Amino acid sequence: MKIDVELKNVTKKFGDVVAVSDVSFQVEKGQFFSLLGPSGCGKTTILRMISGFEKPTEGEILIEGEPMADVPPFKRPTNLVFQSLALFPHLNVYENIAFGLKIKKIPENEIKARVKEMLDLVRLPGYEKRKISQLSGGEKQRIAIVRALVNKPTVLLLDEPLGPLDLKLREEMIVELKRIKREVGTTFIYVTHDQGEALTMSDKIAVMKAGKIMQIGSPIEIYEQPNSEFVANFIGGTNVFKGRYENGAVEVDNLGKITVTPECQLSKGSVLVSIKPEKIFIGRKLNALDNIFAGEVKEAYYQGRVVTYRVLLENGSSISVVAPSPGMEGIFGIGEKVKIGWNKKDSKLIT
Amino acid sequence: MSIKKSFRNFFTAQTNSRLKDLLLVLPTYLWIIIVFFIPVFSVLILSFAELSPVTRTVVNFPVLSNYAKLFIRTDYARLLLRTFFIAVTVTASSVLFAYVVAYFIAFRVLKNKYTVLFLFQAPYFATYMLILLAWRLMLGSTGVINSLLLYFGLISEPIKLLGYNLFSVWLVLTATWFPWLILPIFVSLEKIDRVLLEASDDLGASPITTFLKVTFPLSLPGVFVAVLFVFIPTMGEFIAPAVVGGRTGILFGNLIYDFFLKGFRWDVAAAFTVYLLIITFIAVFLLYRRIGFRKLMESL
Repeated sequence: MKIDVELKNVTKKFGDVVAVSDVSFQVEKGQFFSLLGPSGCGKTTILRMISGFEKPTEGEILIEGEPMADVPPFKRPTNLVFQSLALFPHLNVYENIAFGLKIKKIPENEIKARVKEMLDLVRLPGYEKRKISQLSGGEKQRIAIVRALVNKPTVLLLDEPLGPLDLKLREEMIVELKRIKREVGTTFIYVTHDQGEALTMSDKIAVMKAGKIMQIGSPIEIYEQPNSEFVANFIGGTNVFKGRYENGAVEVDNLGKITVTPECQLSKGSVLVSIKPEKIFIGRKLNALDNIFAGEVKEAYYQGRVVTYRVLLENGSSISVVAPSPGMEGIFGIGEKVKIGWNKKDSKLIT
Repeated sequence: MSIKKSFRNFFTAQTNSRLKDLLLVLPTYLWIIIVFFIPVFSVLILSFAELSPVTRTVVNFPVLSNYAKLFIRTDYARLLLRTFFIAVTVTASSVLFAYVVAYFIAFRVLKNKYTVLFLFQAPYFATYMLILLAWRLMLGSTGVINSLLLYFGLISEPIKLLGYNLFSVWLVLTATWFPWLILPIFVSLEKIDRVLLEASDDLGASPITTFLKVTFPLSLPGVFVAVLFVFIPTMGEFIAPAVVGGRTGILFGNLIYDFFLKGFRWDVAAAFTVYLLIITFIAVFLLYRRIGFRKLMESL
C-alpha cells in the first residue's frame, strides 16, 4: 500500500508547552484517517504541521515520501478545510472555489468546468454567483470543502469542519462527506473531538491525549478493544473496574468475580476490566448470561432511542447501563430492584 | 412630581410611538441642520447674489456672474485644476505612506501595537499652525535643511525644490496628513481574519499574491475612508500654501480666502466654494458607488 503521509517522531513545543510529543503514524493512500481527542490534545497542531503552518520542533513529516521541512504551505500538495471555513467574504462562490486554480494559471474554461463539477459534487449546482453571506451554514461547509478539493490535493486536511453545525445538519454532512470521499478517493485526514463522527467516517482512527497518540486502529478495534482506560472512556464511555486476574476471571473489590474470555488472558495480577454500557442487559429476571448481579436503579435518563440507567449493585459498586427503550419489560423506575448481566466476551481486559 | 410622571408616561406609553420615535431622533437631525445645512444653504444663496463691494448689500439676485468669474480669468480655472491635481497627488502619496505604516503595525508589530499606533498620532498634540511653522523653518532656500546641507558641503547651492513652492506644499501636506490616515487603514487591516490569509497561503498563493487578492481588497474600506479624510480638506486647504507655498504654491482655497477677506467679495467667494463642494461631492459619490455608504461608515 502506498503511504501518502508519514510522521516520524514529531514533537512540537510552544515555548515550554509540549503540544505534540513524539508522534509517529502513517496514512495510506485513499484512507480516511481521523485524529480524535479532547480539545487541547494536539490534534489541530498536527494538522497545521502537515499543512505547513507550524514547523515541528523535532521529527520529520513526509508527504508522498518527500520531506516537507523546507516547503512552505503554498507549495505543499495539501489543502486544508479550516474550522472557521475561512471563505473569502469579498469573493463569490465561483471566485472562492476558483481561487487556487487561478493561481495555478489554469485556463478559464477548464476552471469553469471544474468549479461546476465541484458544485455538482456537493449538490449546489448554479451557486456560482452567490455571495458567501447569502449561504447557510451547511452550504458554506460544502463550499469550503470543494474549494480545497478542486485543487486535487494529495491529502485533504479537515479541521473539525462540522463543529459549528447543529446536530441535524451535522448528521447530514457526515453522510455527505462519506459520499464525497467515496467519489473523489482522495486521502482525508480529519480532526475531531466527536467520537461519533470519527467512528462513522474513518478507516483508521488515532486517539490522542495530551500530545500523545494513545491508540491507532480501525473504528471497530478502537471501540471494541480499547488499549487503555482513557480510550475506553473517551470512545462512548464505559464501566471500568480494577481487579486481580486469575484463571479466566477477575476478582473485583465490592463486586465479586467477573468472568472474562480466555482469549484476553494476561499474566496474573492487577488489571482493569471494561464493560461497555450497551453490552449490559437489564431486567427483573436474567439468565443465560455469564455475569449476573442484582441491584437497584438509582438514576434513569430517557433519551428517546435508549434509556441510560445507573444501577447500584448489592455489593456496593455502581454501573451504568444503556438499554433499548422501551425494553422487553418496559422502562424501569428509580428505586426498582433489577438484575444486570453481560457475557464474558464483553468483559474487556485493558492494561 | 406630575411633570416627572407625565414625562415617564410619555416614554413608556405604547401610543404616540411615532411621535416618540421622531423626538428621539430629533437631536441628530437638529445637529445636522445647524452645523451643516444652514451654513451650506447660506453659501449657496450668497453665491447667486451680487453684493455691493462697499455696502455689502444685495444689489442683484439671482445672478450667475459669480460663477462666471471662474472663466473670466483663465488662471482661476487653472488654479482650480491645479488644486484638484495637488489634492489627488497628496491623497495618493499620503494614503500610500499611511498604508505601509498601518500594514507594518497591523502585521509585523507583535507587541505593543497600540502604543506604536499612538506614537504615530503624537504629531497631532502640536497645533497645525505649529507644525506648519516648523516646516517653514525647515524648508526655504535658507531653511534648516538647505543650510545644513550647505554647511556640511554636501551641496554647493540651495536645493530649489526645497524652497517655498508647490512641491513643498505637496511635501508638507503629505507629511502632516499621513499619520492621521494610519488609523482607518489600520482598523480595516486589523479586522481581517488572519485565517483568511492562511487559507490563501494553503490554496497556493505566494505572500505577494495573498496581499493582492485577499489583504488589499479586504482593506479597501479603510483606504476609501482615508481617501475621503485627506481629499476633502486638501481641496479647500489654504493654510499650508500660505505658509510654505511661496508665490507658486497657492491653491484654490487661498483664492477664496482672498476674495472673502481681502477683496470683500463674499458673493464670488461663495460661488467658488460651491465649485469646491461640487467636486468634493462627485468624489464622495464615486466612492459611495464603488463600495456603498454603509460599508464605508462601518469601517470607521
